Amino acid sequence: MEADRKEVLVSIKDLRKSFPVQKGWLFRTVGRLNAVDGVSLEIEKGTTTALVGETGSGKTTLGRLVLRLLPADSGQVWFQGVEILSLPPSRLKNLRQDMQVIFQDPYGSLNPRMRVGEIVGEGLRIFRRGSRAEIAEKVKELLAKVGLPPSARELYPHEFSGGQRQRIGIARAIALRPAFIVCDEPVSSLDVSIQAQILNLLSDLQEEMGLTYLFIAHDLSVVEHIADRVAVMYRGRVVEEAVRDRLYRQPLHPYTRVLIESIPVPDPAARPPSSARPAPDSEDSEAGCSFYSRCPIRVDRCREEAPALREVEGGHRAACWEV
Amino acid sequence: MENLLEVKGLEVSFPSPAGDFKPVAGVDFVLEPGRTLGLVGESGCGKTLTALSILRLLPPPGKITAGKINLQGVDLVTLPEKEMVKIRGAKVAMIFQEPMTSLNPVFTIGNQVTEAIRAHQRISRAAARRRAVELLRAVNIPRAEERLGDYPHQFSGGMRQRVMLAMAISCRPLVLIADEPTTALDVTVQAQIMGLLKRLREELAMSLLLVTHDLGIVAQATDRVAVMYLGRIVETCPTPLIFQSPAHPYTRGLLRSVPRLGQRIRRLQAIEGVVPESSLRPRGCSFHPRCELADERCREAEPVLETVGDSHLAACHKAPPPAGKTDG
Amino acid sequence: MATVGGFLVVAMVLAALFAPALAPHDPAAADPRPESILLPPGPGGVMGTDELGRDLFSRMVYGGRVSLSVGLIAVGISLLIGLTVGAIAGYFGGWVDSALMRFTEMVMIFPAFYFILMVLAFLGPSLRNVMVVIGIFSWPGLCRLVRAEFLSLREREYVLAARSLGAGHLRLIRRHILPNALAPVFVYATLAVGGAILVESSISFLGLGAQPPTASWGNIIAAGRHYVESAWWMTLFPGLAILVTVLSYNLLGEGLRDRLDPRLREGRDGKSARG
Repeated sequence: MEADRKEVLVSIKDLRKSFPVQKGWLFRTVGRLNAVDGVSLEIEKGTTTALVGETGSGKTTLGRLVLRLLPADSGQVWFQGVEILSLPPSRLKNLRQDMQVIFQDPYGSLNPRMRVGEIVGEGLRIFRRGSRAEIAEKVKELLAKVGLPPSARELYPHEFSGGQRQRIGIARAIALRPAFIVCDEPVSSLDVSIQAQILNLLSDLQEEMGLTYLFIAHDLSVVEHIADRVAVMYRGRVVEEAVRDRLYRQPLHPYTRVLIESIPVPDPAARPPSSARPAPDSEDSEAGCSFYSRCPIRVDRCREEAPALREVEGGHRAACWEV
Repeated sequence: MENLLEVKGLEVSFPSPAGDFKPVAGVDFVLEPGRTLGLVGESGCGKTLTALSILRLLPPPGKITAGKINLQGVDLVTLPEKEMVKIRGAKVAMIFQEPMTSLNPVFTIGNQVTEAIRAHQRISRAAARRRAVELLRAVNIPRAEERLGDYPHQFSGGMRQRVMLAMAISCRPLVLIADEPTTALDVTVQAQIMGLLKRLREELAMSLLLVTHDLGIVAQATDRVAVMYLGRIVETCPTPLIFQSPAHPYTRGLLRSVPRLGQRIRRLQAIEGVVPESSLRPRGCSFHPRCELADERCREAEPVLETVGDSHLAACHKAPPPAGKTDG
Repeated sequence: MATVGGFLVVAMVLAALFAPALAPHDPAAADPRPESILLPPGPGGVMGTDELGRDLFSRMVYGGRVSLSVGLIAVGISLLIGLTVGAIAGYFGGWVDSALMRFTEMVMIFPAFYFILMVLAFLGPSLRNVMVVIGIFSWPGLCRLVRAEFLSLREREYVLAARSLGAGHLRLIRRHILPNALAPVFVYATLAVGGAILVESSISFLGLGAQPPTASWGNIIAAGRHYVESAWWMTLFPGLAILVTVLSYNLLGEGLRDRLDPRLREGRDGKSARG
């Protein structure tokens, strides 16, 4: 598997971003929260790399940094051989055609005052891809591609259900025929029966258009169905990264194991989900491993020294002293 | 076994200028003492409104327009509001999906928990405080005594749900209704809360009505399950049966569309189509537009819940007949 | 109630537009004969006459014209400044925002009314000056509102989505942020028209606004206050007019607030109530 690695489309190098933490009624800045704390990751062309983590792990921030929708503090993002974080705005605009985003919230991600036709066709208008009539025709095609009727063009987003809105968001994202799409929890606010429809649609589009996905999610069972590689994030760092089957069959990092074991399996005969130690009340020491206080296999070294992400075997990377 | 809570033919409707619409249109189920019933369905199916009806806390202008809700033989639907106040929190308690918004941000945790205790029990402030500490310990909140003075925003989502749980069990209710109690939480926290719910149910000998959309949770935490679609129960049976031999096509579709860990398949099977608005309920079987088995009869006549197996009921014309009753 | 407000506002706008047709007499035509001054409401005129024998109803109608134009133009100026400054501050944020907001606060803490009087005393009393000066001093509230809206809207996911599509600043503001910020701005502006009319009346009452013989509700009251005991109609009618006008703009503003949001509209039809 690892021998025939495909061409790398996106390469993230030591990316960092922190936000000020404010406290008290004067909102004094009392420190900085490292939302993304030195992440390096490579995304191969035509594949899906999943970024998994819980609330506050920094996965959404990472997705936005990669698209330069949020300025990074430091680090690099290489896309098709160009470093995009240092690109001047004029050149960035052209690059936008090749990278797109699909958001989690199908309600907040569509402008309530624009008709669906305008929303889906906006990119085409910005880059002047044809006349008015040509764009209208293209919008119809796009809507058909995501399974919506042409009449949808005339309606406003609030006239659609959550799943249909997500289809509108997908049509908008593929309109410019991008190479790379960041899918930020695209199915986590949808019902299960609808979730499956959207996941299938994303797979079909990937096959048809040769898309590369960075798929951000918190649900490991969803990720298993769509990802080729999986990266697990915890408190701003990637703690484990591997091809899908390896990660699910032999998870190395204790956090990944906790995550997998916590999922309730829809089978009454299966073992009940384990409940790990409760989350700590206070932050751990800065120096040690960020998972220290919740870790079932911690040793003294973990408190003093943070483990770096290192290759354990055959492209399987983990950040833990005990593997 | 004797039934603790019995819901029969429950109907909830919201009057509107375009005509009343009924998000709950005939729901029946029973909750046995000490058992957990999972009420399962997708958003808009009426499961939350069903739960709120039991406490008579429907958002206006919603009203219960038909049916009975018997709690130990007393019909809660016709009970005067004055009597109902004594039921809420004391005999039937509820926790919600959003632990962020269910707590009042301007009062301390201690304040709110003691308030909940003193609402139904005539005890002194000091005694209530001691009881609050006990309760917070019971739900595994570390350093419970110190944390009484903290405000809700100083608690994480999981900790807030624990506080809600502490308040809910403060009067040792007979029935605890948990409406998507872990949906807003991370999966590791979810596992902790579900474990806690299970332990408390056993220790306090409560019955649990667990409203959820997650079939994983159903499998792990319930004894019996009722599947809702468009305001009706379409199938109900002991939990293992729903995974072994689901009788209703909707249940089967739901089970097929759930991504399962370790069972990766090329394509997930989705239920085609969308859930219609409850104001546009299809004629006949309300699932027929999305059902692959639907025929003329399904388009015309509405199926009712019928026995298809041992304490297994389904509302489907196409459901297999009860085993052992086949003539021939 | 909103419909009542809207109806009254429309009626007043129409009255102002068709003032020449509506007024039975020339509002400035004096008839200082003792038998035609200070006549009570009656067959001579529905609202009587003033101390110079002018028809009060005609003066009221023309006064309404003054009030309306001052209200609209002053708020127009205030919208122009408030929207621009607020949009720039809210959209760009950072030091631009800090600088513009400190400036806005400086304008805000000015005792505006006295300053308006002072400026008018220098420039000389005239209606045009009144409009401009009210406009220049009433924008900070609106500006802060616009800024707050922009600050929150620019973080919306649909704005991010548009950015990722390569939309420039102008497109983001015009297509994605401004249309969603306008509802509260309209409401505020409607309320501000009522406020501006009140300020204009006060200024004219003090003699620094509309100059006789031009009629304004403020200067009619000013003239009438000498005759409160003998000719109540000279203060009652313009007073009532100011009250009703301000009230109806407020009612209209409240009503607009609900109606301008497509999602709220949906909610009222009861469609979005789901279980």
